[in-house]
Amino acid sequence: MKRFIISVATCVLALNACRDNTGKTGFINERAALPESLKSLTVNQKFTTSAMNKTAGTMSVLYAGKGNLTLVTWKKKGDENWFGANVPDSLLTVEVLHSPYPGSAHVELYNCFDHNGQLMKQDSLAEITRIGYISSLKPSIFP
Amino acid sequence: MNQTKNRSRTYLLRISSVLAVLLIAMQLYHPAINNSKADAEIQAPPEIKAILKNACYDCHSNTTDLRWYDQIAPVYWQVAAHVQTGRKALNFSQWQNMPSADQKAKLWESVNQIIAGAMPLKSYTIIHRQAVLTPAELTVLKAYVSSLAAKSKPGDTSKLKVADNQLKPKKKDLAQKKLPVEMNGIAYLPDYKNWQVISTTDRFDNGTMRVIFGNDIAVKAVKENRTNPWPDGTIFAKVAWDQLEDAKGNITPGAFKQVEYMIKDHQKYASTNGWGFARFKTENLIPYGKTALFAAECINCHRPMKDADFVFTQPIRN
Ligand code: HEC
Repeated sequence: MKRFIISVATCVLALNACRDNTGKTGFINERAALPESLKSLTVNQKFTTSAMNKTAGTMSVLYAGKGNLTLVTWKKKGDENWFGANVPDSLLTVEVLHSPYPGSAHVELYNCFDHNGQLMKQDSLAEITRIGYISSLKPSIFP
Repeated sequence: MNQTKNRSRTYLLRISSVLAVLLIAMQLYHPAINNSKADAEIQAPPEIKAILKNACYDCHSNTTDLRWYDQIAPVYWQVAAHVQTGRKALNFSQWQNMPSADQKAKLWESVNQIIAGAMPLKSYTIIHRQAVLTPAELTVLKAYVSSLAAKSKPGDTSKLKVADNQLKPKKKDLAQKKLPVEMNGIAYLPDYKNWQVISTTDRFDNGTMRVIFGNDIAVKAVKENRTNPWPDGTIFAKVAWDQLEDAKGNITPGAFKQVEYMIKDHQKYASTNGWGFARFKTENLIPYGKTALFAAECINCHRPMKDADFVFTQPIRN
C-alpha cells in the first residue's frame, strides 16, 4: 500500500513537472534593444521600410525624420515561437544619414554606431557603399 | 463486527450495480462518427503520411480508426467531440481542396503545433501513447516542410511586376473609399503605419517579410513590462510583404500582401481569449473568412502561446 501511494505521488509530481513546460512567457526581446543614447533616433520617427541581407544574416528597419535616415540592423536568429521564421537577435549597428534636404541625394553626414552606441570608424570606401545602399531603399508599399 | 462487514458489502454491491446500470445507459447515447470519402487526401512521401496517419488521422481525417476502448461512453463522447472539431479545423482527407499555399501554411502550422506540444491533444496521447511523435519523426517532418519553403530567386520578375503594379496610381485612393470591415465587426485601421515598430520577422516559411506595429498602449506596456497579459486597448498591426531578392543577397519588401490586427479587450472579445482578430488581404484589403467563425482558426493557431497571452511576437525592448 505504502509503495502504491509513493508511486502515485511520484506520478502526480512528474505529471505536474511536465505541465506547461512548452508554454512561453511574455518575454521582451532585450538583446535587440537600442542603447539609451540612440533611442530618440527611432522613437516617434516614421517607419519607412525594412530590409534583410541573406549573406550577412541580418535584418533592418529604416526610419525617417528630423532630416535623418536611420537604419537599425540586427543579426537574425530562429524564432523560438515559430519554426519557419527569423527574428531580430543582438543589435549590430545604427547608421544615420543626415541630409539637409530630405529626399535629395546630398548627404551631409554619415555616422555608424555599434550596439553600445559607440561611434565606429569606417574607411571612406565602406562609407560610400553604405550611403549608396541606405539611399537606395524605397519606402514599403502600403495601400 | 461481522454484521458491519456484511452491511458495507451490500452497500458496495448496491453502488456498483447503480454504476453499472448508469454505464450501460450511457452507451445508449452514441453520436455517430461517420467515416466518409477521402478523395482529396494529402499527397506526401510515404514516411510523412505514415506519421500523420499514426498521430493525427483519428481527429483530422475522414478515416478515424476507433479502438474498442474509444467506443465506450463517456470516453466516446469526448472522442466524438474531438473528431468533430478536429475535422472542421484541419482535414487531411480533404487536403487538396485547399489552395496550394494554404496546404503549405497548414503543414507549417502543424509542425509548430507539434513542437509546442499542443498536438496531438494530451487527452488523446494519455491513452494512445503510440501517437506521440518521436524526436526522429519530428526531424523528418521538419525537413519535409522546410523543403516546401518558398524559394526566393534573385530578380524574380513576376514578383517585381506585382509590386510595380501596386505602385501605379489608383483611380480611387483608399481615403475616398469606405473602410473595409472584418466579419466580426472590426474595421480596418488606416493609422497603423504611423505607430511604433514592435518587431520584424523574416517568414522564410512563406517567403514574406513582416513588420509588427504597436499602438501607444502597446508601446507603453512594453516599456513598463506589462505584457503578460497585455492591457486592454493594446493593438498590434502585423503587415506582410513579398520578399524581393537582388543578386547580392539584399532583400527588400515587394508587394503588400496583408495586414492583420490583434485588439485586446478582455470583455468584448472574451470568446476569443480576450483578443479581437482581423485580417485584410491584398492591396484591396479584402476581409478574411466567410463568417465570424473565421476567428476560431486564429485562436487555434495562437493557442500554444497561451502562457504569453496568445501573442507570438516578442516585442523589442523600447
Ligand atoms: C484527439 C484528437 C486530435 C488529434 C489526435 C490531433 N488533433 Fe489537431 N486538433 C484537434 C482539435 C479538437 C482541434 C481544434 C481545437 C484545438 O485547437 O484544440 C485541433 C486543431 C489543430 C490545428 C489547428 C487548425 C486550425 O484551426 O488552424 C492543427 C494545425 C492541428 N490540430 C494539427 C494536428 C496534427 C499535426 C496532429 C498530429 C500530429 C493532430 N493535430 C492531432 C484534435 C486533434
